[in-house]
Amino acid sequence: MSFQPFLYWLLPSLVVGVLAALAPRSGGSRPELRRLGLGVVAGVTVLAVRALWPEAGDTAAAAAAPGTPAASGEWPHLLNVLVGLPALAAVMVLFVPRQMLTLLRGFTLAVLAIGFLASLLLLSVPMTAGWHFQYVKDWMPALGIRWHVAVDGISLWLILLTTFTTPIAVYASFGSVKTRIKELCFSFLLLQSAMLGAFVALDLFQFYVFWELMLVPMYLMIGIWGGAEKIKAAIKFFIYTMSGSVLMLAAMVYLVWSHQKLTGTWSWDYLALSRVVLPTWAQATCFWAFSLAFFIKVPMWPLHTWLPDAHVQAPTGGSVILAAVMLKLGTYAYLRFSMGLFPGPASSRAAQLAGFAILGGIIYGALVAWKQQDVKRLVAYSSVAHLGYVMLGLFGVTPVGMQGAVLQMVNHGISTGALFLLVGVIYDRRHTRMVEEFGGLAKPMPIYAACFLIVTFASIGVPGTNGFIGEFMIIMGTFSSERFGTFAGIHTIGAALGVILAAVYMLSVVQKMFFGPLTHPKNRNLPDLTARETVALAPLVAMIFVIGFFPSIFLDRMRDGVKVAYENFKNVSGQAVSFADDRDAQILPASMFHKGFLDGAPETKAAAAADAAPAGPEARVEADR
Amino acid sequence: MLAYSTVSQLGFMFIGVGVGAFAAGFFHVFTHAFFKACLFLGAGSVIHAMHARIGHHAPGAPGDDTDPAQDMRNMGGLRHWMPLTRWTFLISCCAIAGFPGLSGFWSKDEILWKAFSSSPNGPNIAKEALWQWPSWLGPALYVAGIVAATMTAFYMFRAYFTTFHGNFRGWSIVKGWKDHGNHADHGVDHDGGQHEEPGAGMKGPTPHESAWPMTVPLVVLAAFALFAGFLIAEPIHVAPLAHLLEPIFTHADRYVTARAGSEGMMWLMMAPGFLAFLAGTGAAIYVYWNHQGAPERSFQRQFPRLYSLVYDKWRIDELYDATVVGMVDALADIFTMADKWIIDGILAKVSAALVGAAGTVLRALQTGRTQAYAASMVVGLAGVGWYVVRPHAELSVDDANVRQSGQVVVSVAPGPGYTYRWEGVEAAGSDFSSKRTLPIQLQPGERKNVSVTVRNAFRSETKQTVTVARPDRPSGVPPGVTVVPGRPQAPQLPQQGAQ
Repeated sequence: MSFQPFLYWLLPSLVVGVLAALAPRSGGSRPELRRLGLGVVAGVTVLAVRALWPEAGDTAAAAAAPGTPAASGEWPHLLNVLVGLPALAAVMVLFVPRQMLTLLRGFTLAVLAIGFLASLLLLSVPMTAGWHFQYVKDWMPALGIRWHVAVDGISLWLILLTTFTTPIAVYASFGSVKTRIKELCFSFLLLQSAMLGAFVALDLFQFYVFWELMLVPMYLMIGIWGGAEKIKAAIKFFIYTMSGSVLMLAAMVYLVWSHQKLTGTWSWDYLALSRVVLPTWAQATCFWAFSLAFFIKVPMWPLHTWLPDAHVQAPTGGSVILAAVMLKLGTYAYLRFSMGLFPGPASSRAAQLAGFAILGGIIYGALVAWKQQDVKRLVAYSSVAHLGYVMLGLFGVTPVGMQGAVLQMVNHGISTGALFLLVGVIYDRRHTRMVEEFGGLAKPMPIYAACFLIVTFASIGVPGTNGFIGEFMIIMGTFSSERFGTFAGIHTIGAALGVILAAVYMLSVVQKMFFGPLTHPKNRNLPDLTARETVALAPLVAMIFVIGFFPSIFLDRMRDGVKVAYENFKNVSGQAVSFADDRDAQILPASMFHKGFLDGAPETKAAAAADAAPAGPEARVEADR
Repeated sequence: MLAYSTVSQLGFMFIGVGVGAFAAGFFHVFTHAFFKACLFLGAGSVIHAMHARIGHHAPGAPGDDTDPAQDMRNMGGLRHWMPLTRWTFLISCCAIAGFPGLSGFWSKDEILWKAFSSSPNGPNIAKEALWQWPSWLGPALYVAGIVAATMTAFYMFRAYFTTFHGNFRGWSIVKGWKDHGNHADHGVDHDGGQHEEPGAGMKGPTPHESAWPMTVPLVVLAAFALFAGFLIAEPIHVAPLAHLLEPIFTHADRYVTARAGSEGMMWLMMAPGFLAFLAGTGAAIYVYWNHQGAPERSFQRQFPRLYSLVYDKWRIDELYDATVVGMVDALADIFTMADKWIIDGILAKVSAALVGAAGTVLRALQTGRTQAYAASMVVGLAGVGWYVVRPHAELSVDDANVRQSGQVVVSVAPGPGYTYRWEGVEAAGSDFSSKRTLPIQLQPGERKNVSVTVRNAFRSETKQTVTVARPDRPSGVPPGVTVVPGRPQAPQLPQQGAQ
């Protein structure tokens, strides 16, 4: 008897059984029996699930995924580990007594650190075009729902950003949050798992699950450890995001149904669905349903007002993750799903959307940020402005603009995350964030002031810092964009104006807080950064300069991923605009897509027929009625 | 003052570049670097000396953004105590004012000479010059340059004389005076009190010369200000820098030609430059050395508005404040209010109010009285029953193949116990039957009215008509297929059989 069946069958059920047996508190009548009972029930449940799992699905999925992983030396389970480990750890945290604070903190940090180190393995392979570390397994075969994870050059950096910033945010949080540590650890771990899951998901259902799962820990974080109006802010955050994502779910269902009508196969797979060209009106409707969900998350004007409230009320660690990673899910998902599935409307509406991004995001956000009295609110509005740049880069759809947008996502995560950490530092000392309370802080807190200034420069985009590279590439992309047509010039002017306004609001707040006379007596003897705060900030400051001086580390690895996305968009959007039928959806032949893009998509007969038809896109595939 | 002087000197440089004297323009950048750096450093040395007693500008003082330690009105007579600073400042002053032989003289003269003598031509577009250099422009630029040079000499020597000559106006010098404050902490008032107003009422130590880290660079820069002019001294044919720069500007130089009638006037045209130096310096000597600035004060009395306009830097900052800054500021205020009240108000509060109102209305129906629920169920059932009893004819047209083969399929929605009678086409029978779909063959350009009568189990009937049409063969003069309640049709895919 080989070792593997034991490993796959018995070990999980044993682990779960033992954990369940440990769960109940001692005391009460006959605790042993209760423990035994729970342990057996849990173990048997796991065993039953494993035994009843359809074996045929396994082989089908294995056949569907071509055998690239083994050949290229990529460990196919890496992404599963990245997503699964924090989730598993979150469950394990529940079994640690809440009094053991050191164990809770140490365990959480250790898991996140392992996650970060494991994510570094993603860098070990060349990020060529196509999917990497792909893993496919049937989940609910009757509905065509699969567990499909993979990375490309775009999601790679967002995964690394997540695994990089979450430990920092958690470490900083442990310095300022003193209550309900167990719940805090659980929330952070679950959040980490959900965010990573959303970044690597290539199955729409799976993506939706993670997208919604992300809301729960963040809701808890704002609601439990937040400021004075935390409940209101938490509910506002939840309802805003939820209402968008329900629209997205409806559009997903429609898209899956169209695909099923065309091919006779249920599939929620992103790759399979990106071959569907919907009728014109359905394209527009579904595009807006998806994009609204993402625009709320980004957030784009006028859907942004949940963000300042959520940021102001959230604890420091929550703000850092919210700004650094969760907002990026909006931009990433727009790039991946809105542009990937509905390139037609994304292309024809690009100029107008870019106008929104510039006027509503970059300029409006900057001006409103300038007028804020609360530093955290100011940084929140500056996020609106910065993400306006990211969206502008995506709307323009030029290779350089898209690379700039992806890089700017990482940049914003680093610099705004650091800004929120810094604001948290001063809030911990003074319990206020009002600008007028400060002034002349550079005297008592020189290191703090220096860090703040460096991060401010990164946020403004001073050459030599990361912000410069991203904004420069985005502005280049805007100017050369074909999608903007005659608006390219005016959009470029608007985007450049935003750079000036960024300097206006950031430098004026720095001047007011750190320089001038030290008026407030409470500020006289503020201690400078503690060791914990320094350690938390140091990696972020280091990354500011690393990206600022050596951007090609990042750009080279994302180039092929962006190229695939760009070429698919270019080809498919042309087809979607000119050949969309008014009545019926169509399947595009695989030759329309970049080579390697469709690897791992489920095989369907009708799709194969579309490939076989030589006539190109006009070969309409009759629906199986 | 020195910064505004730089603005003026930049004007010279751009004249140089504008008239095509690229090397001369660059040369002025070069010499200006030496004497202006020396002047700034000298000013720094003076300010350093003034800091012995006079602090920085007190924050919040109205209207005047001049630091009292940098205010020339508080200086004077410093030549007695700061000889090195004074001599280097004087050398640079002469250089910038255009004393013959010093660096500024050569570079400024070169620019003015080129302005007078050369005539740049625009690039040719379709064998026609883009623009013509008017012949009066060169001399006009030359005259403007001479006037500006006069002013340069005047204001530079004004600075020199008010700073280094006359009586010291900063404070009354008391031998052996001890500083009570910390020398390193100028301007920060620990005891909450202000420095006393500068002037004769304040006591202070003897002003001192700066230490060698300041004076050595001063001397070096002054030396360059003296001799750097010989890098391009065209009249005496010493121009190493011009030779160095020649290859860079060869392409651009092709568009510059000498203006006719200006040959041989090079030495002659140097005279006004020298005269400008003499006039400006002489005026400054008269006003600020001989009369201790009295003419300036009388000018101020006679033309107070002009004086204050010039004193306030032509109010350009105020103009920007009122237009650009004010506009952006107002816009930001408007946006901030709109964000709070309109966007957040409408999106969050109005939608919340709508949901709340809907809840209030629906709550009123939830009375908990079984009779009310039963009554509403009866009403609902009656409505559904009425719908079922009536016949409904809902036609749908499938014309996907109408262009290719002329085949249109009209179908009617099914219902309980329905029978259908088709009219308007030959294939349709005249009796009610269970045939729910009707294929119709159309010729190009043909239109047909098809109607169906639906009879349900209670023998009540209803009728519905649609028009189907096929576009004419020469590629659709009527816009596509007409379906009666139709959307506008998008252009169809080009089909292979449509020819």
